[in-house]
Amino acid sequence: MKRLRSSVTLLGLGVALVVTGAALLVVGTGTVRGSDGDQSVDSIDPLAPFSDFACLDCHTSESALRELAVVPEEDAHKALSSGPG
Amino acid sequence: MAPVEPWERVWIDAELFEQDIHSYINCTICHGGQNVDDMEAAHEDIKESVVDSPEVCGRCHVDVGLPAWNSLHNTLRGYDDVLYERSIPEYHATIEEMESYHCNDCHATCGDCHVSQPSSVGGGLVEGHVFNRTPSMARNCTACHGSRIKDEYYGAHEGIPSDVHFRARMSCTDCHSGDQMHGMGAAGEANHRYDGPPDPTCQSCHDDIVMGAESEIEEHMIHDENNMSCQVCHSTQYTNCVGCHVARTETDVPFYTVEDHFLGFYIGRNPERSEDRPWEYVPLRRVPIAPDVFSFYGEDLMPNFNDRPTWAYATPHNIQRITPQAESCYNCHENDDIFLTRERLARTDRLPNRDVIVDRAPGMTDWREEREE
Repeated sequence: MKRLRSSVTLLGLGVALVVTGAALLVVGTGTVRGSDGDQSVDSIDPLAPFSDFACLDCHTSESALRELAVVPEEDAHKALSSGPG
Repeated sequence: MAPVEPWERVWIDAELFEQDIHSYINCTICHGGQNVDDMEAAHEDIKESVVDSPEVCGRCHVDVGLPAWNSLHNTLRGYDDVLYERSIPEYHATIEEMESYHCNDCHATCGDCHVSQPSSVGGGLVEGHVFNRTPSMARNCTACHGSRIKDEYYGAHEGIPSDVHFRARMSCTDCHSGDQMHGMGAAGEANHRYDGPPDPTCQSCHDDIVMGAESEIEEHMIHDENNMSCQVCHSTQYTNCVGCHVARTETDVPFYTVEDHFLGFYIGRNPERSEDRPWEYVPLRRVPIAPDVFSFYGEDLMPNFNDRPTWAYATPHNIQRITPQAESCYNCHENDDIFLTRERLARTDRLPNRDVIVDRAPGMTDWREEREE
């Protein structure tokens, strides 16, 4: 009887540990606490295989960028300002 | 700093970048936009600021993501602190509108230090999109901290030597730790850069330096640690500005003008005196604030202008072992030329600076009497 009770206690402890572990996984995965509260980042998978080759092809091509890049409008404010910034 | 060509600002150095672990991440995850050939469609919904939440970098860099997001570098809450103190709550929304045009470029995100030049200087990738663990002093730190810190540290002002630490080839990060930059630890609690205990301190490196009777250096022995900050003896002339005004063109391009700026070294009473910063005297720098600095946005937006000094606690970055004021006792004592006295101030500056000006330079006898007491 004593042996059976020990087995039941051990089993119960094991189940409790598994449940706790699962709960911790649920809480700890997929959310990062931000300044505005919890935000899900499940939609982002930084480890997905790289596939953005259209972006990369253009932004690694000096000739394409020389042809396409435009001077941002913000540059104009430097010319207007005077004195130490 | 030499301007970066528009094409180069967005050019990825394929050879270098493929060795960077970030090259495994799809572009659109951080930048938004679309992975398509057409340029216009590709840039649709692209993020103006890549780091628009603490999760962007913080998902992997869990230790620094959130603290950096809340750090002074990102929030610039130090500016709110000094502007709100001079204003009243009813005008805060207008001041925030002003900040959205004239200040928000200075918010430093993770990328502004680790991958590109800050947006306040036009942005542009520093090294073909490679992420640098340690920011570049020239292209990151002093890109923002330029007209005061950089010029002082590099010795850009004629006749004023560069900082002794610059001559020893030290860069910003040799003194300013990542924890401080990322707002971790005590820096995370600070409301402005002089809030809380000084970090770094001179003693962080010069741990053999003590003030008072224990010192083996005569000048340190006869002054105690409450008398003055290290910079009173060891820094020299720095930039002071008067009368900044901000405005926008008809097409909403923001710009500013500064009425006057000059070099000078002025000692006054410590406006930030506390247990952490116990010094009675510190160098004071004229900050460019003016009562009508934001008049473009509304009349009298700072009705409490006189509640805060326009000469601010300063830590000039042009440290020398021997400076003109420390060459002899009388170069400082009884020398009103290097103290912020009432006579030195414009009439409108007298009231806001009433607590930091001195009647005259301390005389030699004053010190002896104080010590005897």
